[in-house]
Amino acid sequence: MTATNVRMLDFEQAVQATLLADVQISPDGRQVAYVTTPVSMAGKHPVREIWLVAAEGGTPRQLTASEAADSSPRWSPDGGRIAFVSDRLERGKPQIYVLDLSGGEAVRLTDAARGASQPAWSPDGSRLAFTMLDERPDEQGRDSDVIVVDSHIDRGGLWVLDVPADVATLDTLPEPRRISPTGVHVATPPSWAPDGSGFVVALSNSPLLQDIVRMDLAILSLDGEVRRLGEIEGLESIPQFSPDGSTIALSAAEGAIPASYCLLTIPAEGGDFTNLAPGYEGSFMAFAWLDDQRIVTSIQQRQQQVYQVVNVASGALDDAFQPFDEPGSSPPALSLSADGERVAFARATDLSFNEVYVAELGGTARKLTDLNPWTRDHDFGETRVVSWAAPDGLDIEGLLVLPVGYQEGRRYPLLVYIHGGPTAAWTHRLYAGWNDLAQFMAQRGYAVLLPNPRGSSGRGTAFSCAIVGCYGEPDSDDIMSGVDYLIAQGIADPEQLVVGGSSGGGFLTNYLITIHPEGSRRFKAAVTGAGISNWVSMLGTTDGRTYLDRYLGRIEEDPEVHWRLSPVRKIANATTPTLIRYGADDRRVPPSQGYELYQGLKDRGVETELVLYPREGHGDMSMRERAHQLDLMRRIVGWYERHLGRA
Amino acid sequence: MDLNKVVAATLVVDVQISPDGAQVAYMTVPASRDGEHATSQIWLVPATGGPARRIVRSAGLDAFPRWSPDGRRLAFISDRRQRGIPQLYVLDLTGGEAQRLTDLESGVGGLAWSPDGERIAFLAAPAREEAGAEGEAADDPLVVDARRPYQSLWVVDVPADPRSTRERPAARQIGPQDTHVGSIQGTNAYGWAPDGQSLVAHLSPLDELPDPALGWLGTITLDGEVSYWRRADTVLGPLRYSPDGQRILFNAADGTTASPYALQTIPAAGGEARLCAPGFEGSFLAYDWLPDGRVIAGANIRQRAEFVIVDPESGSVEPAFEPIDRPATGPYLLSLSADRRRAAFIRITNHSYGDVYVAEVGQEPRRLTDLNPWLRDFRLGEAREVAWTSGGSVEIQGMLILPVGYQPGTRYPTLVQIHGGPSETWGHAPHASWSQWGQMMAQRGYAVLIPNYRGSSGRGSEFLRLIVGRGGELEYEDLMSGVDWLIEEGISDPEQLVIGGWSYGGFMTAWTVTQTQRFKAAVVGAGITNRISHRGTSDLPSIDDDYFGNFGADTATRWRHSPMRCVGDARTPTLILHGERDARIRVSQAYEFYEGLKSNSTETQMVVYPREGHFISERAHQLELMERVAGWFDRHLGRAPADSTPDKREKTLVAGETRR
Repeated sequence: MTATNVRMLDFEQAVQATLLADVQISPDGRQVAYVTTPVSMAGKHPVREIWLVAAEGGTPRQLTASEAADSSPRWSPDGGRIAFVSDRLERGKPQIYVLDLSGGEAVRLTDAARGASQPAWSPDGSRLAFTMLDERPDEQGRDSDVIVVDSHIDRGGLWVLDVPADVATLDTLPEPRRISPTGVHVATPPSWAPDGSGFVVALSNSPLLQDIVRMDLAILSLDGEVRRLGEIEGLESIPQFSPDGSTIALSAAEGAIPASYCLLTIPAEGGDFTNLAPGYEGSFMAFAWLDDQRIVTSIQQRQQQVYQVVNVASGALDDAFQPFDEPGSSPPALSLSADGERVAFARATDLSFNEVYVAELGGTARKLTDLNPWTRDHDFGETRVVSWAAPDGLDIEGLLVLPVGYQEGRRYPLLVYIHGGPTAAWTHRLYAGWNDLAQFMAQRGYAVLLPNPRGSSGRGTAFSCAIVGCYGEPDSDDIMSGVDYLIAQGIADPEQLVVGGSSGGGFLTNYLITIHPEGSRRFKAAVTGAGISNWVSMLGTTDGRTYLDRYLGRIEEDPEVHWRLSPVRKIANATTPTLIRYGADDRRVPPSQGYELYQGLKDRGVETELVLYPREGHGDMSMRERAHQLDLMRRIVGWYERHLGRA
Repeated sequence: MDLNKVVAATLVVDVQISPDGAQVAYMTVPASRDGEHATSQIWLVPATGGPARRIVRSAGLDAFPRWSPDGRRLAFISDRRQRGIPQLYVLDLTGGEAQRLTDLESGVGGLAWSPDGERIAFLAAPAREEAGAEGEAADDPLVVDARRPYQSLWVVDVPADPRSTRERPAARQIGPQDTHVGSIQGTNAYGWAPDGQSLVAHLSPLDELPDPALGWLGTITLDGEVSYWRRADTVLGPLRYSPDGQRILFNAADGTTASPYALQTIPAAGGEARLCAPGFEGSFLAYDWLPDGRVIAGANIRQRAEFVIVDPESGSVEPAFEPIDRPATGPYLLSLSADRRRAAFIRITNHSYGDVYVAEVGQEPRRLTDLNPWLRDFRLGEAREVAWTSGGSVEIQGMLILPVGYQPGTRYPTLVQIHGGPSETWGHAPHASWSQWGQMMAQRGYAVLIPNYRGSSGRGSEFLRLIVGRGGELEYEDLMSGVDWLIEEGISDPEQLVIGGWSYGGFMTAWTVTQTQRFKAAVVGAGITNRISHRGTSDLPSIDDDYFGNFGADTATRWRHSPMRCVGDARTPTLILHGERDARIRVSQAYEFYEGLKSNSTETQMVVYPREGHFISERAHQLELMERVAGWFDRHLGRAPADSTPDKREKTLVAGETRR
């Protein structure tokens, strides 16, 4: 196959792909509710729909139809009703609704000034708990509009309201009751005790990243009493009581982040945390109690997601299901039927975006949806797991997406695309979006290396912590040795190397083109998104200072570490034409980081372009507007093609 | 002192004498802006003295009056039609209201009549190449530098009598595309050739230079033909042809850009520039030619402004007028009559924010205005010029404001206030404004030391250049030796030292609290705290390069001179103030230091002023700032209750105190 008859995926199609979120199985296990949303917004606000599909298979049906954002469906314990969140009344300000599945439209239960979210049914189905942000102090009467930084802290509280047996009879809104005390932020969705007496929650000072790195695990009783159980760091999945209420499980970092996520239990009465699988070389993400002795969990292991059953007493792990036909990955969520026999989850593979799956324990998973059938009309490059030795001998892995029509023995242009996090990993899924362009490039004749260097998740704590104090140094070497490996394999053309990445991947791109002696001279083009160029200024301007402190230490302790690892320090080395992009409203890595790199490259006479996307923030889901996604994909692909003389 | 009066003080910001020397037009602004848009007024006062008349009367901005060569008309700009967008107006002094000559979307500024009075040149944004839907969409996403704003040179023909025609003349852009004309904003670095057929201008090609502080001298003909002569950086003020048309007088950097304020001439045909007064130990600001080929100029000399006559042939410098008893500052406004024998200018003194004076060259100046008589109602601290030795052998000078009611032999709490720039000098002035806290603190019982540290203006090019590559080190030595001297003199209480400043003074404050723990409180206003990130985010990166060279070539020196490198050593409670929209020094500089101090568990508070740039202009903000600064110092010296927060409660308290 030559490039001329590749069935190319055009960008206009790609920005309309349907994404899947929040898969929820009914208590009887017969139906699955899920949320879909287009990958980009055509208007000012996102549109989300709630759908239902039978667990036995069949045609899904759309359950909500507000043309606004309907999300977070939660089955009542009797399976007769679904609570959900919708901003149908006022866009951008969600409220809690209940839909009776015996017929009729959804009924609104809240009137929260700043929006309500995260509904959770009480075990007896008579109440809903939810969270909402506290109202801001009265701005009236202030005689000055100056902004005293940190003088107001936004916090969210946990509230409960009674749900009438028949919501259709409601004519005034039920009065919600505040459960959590003021002055603390409830950082997790309500997670009920099985006897309905209270919740297990994580408490922090504020929702800012810098305040949720380390939090208090606590039991919050319905009368507002807080009993602190201990400190947790890097909470990944919300804490849950065992069915008998004696034990709480959660997934969180195995020590200080960026340690790997592990599965922890603690007695509900208080006591010590137990790590169920210490030193395990994988990241525990979602989980659910099957019974008082067993937990089903999804674990990211190297480039894929596996499902395991953990014996709480022994820590032994067993496969939850029959092996999948092909490797894949899942978002960090799973849903269990009331009898603990059937599990619903989302899963993507090399050739498909996330789809809804169900599986019985010990059985074979079945795919229930086909959300993006059009993807089958296009040619995609083959994805392989590759591994190579880093300079110090450690084996490093990654995914290699081969060019469409790959012919062995021919060399191809190589794009090295670096993931963010850094505690994350490239796993098997279809890479055809604005932030993971691998298949677009494969269709244009590129091999694409998606490396999982040191610092990545899925290989245990020693691996993810190997960059602490030296972020950029070992991982950039891991990446460059992967490039050399592909050249040695005869796949990559050493004269046609390009590089890119977002967030943490943007930082490593910046690092490679400046500090790294090889990287700074070998790449023909770079695209860096929302990346750090100066760790010193980064720490003072990000919303996540204490989180980043876990990597390089606090700024006042040894700023020379931050300076040593800052790409702008070695801007004199830069030779690579570099496209720089930021969300104009990025609070995690502010655009000033981009200006620093941009000015430096201009000073050195290196070709560069800095593009800011208004109203966009940080992260994988941040580039939300359709026109922005389109512009960015065209700009990135064009930048690479032009600098390799291919356009 | 009533701070409400301070923020409403009347400041004179432009002075223009009529060609016949009989009248002086001047422009006043309030010290702060009371509404959404700036306001200003134009007044006329007879050169022989008498009441001033306000001759144009919009409620908005009436600004920068310029006499026509025949003295019959005044051109000025006004935003009377659309606030915030000034247009060019001409007022015929034979009667009637002003007539508008332009209708440009982004407004106009920087006026100059052609010598024959036929047309007016001005500075304005370039004519837009394309308009419409595509232009709108092009900003979303925003490609940085894709459409760089700049100002170009325009001319408009002035009808013989605009009152008798309904047709507005068409203005035309003669400056080249993608080239900024006129140096940094607020500087009209251009001038008409005597024949009125071309102009000499400072030109900054956008693709070649990082910002408009750097550029070329060259000429632009009325047809828009451009010829470039030579590089000239940090050009401040107009370019003036000599009366014989042979040479052009301008004020620019002396060699390296870290030493501005060097008056020089260049042949009108192009060629080498020559300093007017090599080795002059002062800093030139306003200037013009005298009839005999000599130059009259206002200069800062140490803590004072002097008007001098410079002979560009010999380099000699002598006083321009008979001396006046009271020392002054403010040598940046000077206007000559057509015969170049009478001058109008301003003088700022310890008891005046600036008043208008006239004088015949060589004679005694006469004061024509009394703009802020209320200032005499307050008891001010005595302001003295002081000098001490720093670094073993360098004489450093500055101002000392003694506390009101000073008793020799008593030690006082002491504020070290550090001026901005660094190429400024602070001398005789009221020291009562949102950025000058001297008298406010003197009335609260503080001695205030204002050092004109190395790198300051007023002592010549060498002195300005001393800090190149070392910014922070020498200035720190100078201010600390000043403090030690005051302690030795028995004036300062070593246990009650506080420090603060704005802009470069904010940088120096941040630097100082990372070098010593002798200060009990500090105020960092709009300061650089990290020279690396500052260089990448400022709108005038060349200023930083003046001191530290090309960024790509040397990041290490900048890092070594960054307060953030030493933030772990800071223990002084520090108030950090910054304008939200400051483009010169970004608010991110403030956040860096604030988060660093927080991480270090050092007491700090940060306040952001909405809508404000590098300088604070709104009245409520200026008031709030002064009260917050005074409260911060007082609280940390135990002179005010520790729990009196600087918010609403305190504001009432302070306002009540000041009214007494």
